[in-house]
Amino acid sequence: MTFKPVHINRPFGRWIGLVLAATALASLAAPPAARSGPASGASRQAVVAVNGMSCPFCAYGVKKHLSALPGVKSVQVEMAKGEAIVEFAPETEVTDEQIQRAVRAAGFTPGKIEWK
Amino acid sequence: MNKVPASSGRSRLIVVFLLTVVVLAACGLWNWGTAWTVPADSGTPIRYKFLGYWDGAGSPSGKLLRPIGIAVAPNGDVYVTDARIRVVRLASSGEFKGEWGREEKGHGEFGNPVGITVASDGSVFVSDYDQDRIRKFTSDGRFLLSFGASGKDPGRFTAPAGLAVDSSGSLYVADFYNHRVQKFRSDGSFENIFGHPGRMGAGALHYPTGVAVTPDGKLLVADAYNYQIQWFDAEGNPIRRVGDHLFWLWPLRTSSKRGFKVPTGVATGTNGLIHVADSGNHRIVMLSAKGEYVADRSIPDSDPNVFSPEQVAVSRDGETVYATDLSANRILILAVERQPTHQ
Repeated sequence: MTFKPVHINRPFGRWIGLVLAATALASLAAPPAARSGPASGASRQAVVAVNGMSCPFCAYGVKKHLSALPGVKSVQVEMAKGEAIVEFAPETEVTDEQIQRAVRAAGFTPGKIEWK
Repeated sequence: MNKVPASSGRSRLIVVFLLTVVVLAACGLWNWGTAWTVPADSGTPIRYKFLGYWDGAGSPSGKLLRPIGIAVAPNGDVYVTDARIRVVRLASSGEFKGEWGREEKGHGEFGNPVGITVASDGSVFVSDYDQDRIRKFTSDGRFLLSFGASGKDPGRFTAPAGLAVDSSGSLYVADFYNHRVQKFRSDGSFENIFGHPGRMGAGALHYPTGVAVTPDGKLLVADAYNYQIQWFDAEGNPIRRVGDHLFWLWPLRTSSKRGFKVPTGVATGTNGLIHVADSGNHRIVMLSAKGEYVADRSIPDSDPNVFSPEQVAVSRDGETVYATDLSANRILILAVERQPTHQ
């Protein structure tokens, strides 16, 4: 939901903006790369990369959506690092896809998920 | 005489139609991107004067931790919500006066208190971003009322954020993920919806985070991800908006007098001046009552990775401005200073 500022003089800037907007929309429409892999048993903590999470309202939104996953014990959102750390109860069956879905519902594109 | 096949004529018509649609859409978008009321330098000799910071020292639970919501009571007390899952009450001098709340689901408890506002009778409303409800307390934190639930239906919320109360006691709630503002009576009963989800056109809201009521009863909405401030009348009709960007990809830089980058908070007092927490530009922007640019003040030592300030509040006379600087765990205090004019 965040974009880096681009400063281009008008009027050409507006047309370049159109191209940028179309590119951004196309990238939003593209399906994310399929990632899978059940996380169960010993897998307790997922570190989820979430790019562009600079706004606290959005970061809290990511936390809210991840907290709604089954078996979540805690969610910590690190805005500066652009990541969310989700701790699950033992034996919780959660897939990467469920985590990705939660991040998308919060308005972000999920990145790499690392299990610890 | 050559005959033109019917299918060829139809194709031409389709091409002409599509070209017309493209041209009209381009004109519409062009106009949409430029026709807004844009804050302009009013030439008013007013600026912000930096007064200092508060960190909540004196609280038994600890200093302020990622403060986000802020409101000023009629008696001048300042209320703040923070990541210690509580409401902190400070005197107008910054001295700690009290606090309440903890992380739970009970009446006086919160999941994540974010928005806060104080009614003219001193009662305090707090929005719970995680538990999707609003709680009402007395000025010293005694629980009075709770309403709302998760969902999209009228009266329900998905992450309620900024709050404001009008002179009749009605409450306005920025309903973040539902892209709207909801109005409630003082007893918590649902009254009306302001705005609708969208990126284009008057009344369209995209992740609104802050609300304020003007002295003449208009509602101001910090429409964060449409990069604009919108005005609504008392019936919920959109009447004005300020902020200049192109397709939300064009937030203007900090020195800009024309636009905002993720404006998350808005406040106004009896003097009519409007203060905007222009979080993505790390500054507070002062506007005239009509939305013209007056002045701005950057947040010193702000964290470039965290948008801040988040919310802004103003004393009843509009002369003192308070803003939450979440990334630095502090409240920023500014005064509205009128510079002497030289004859």
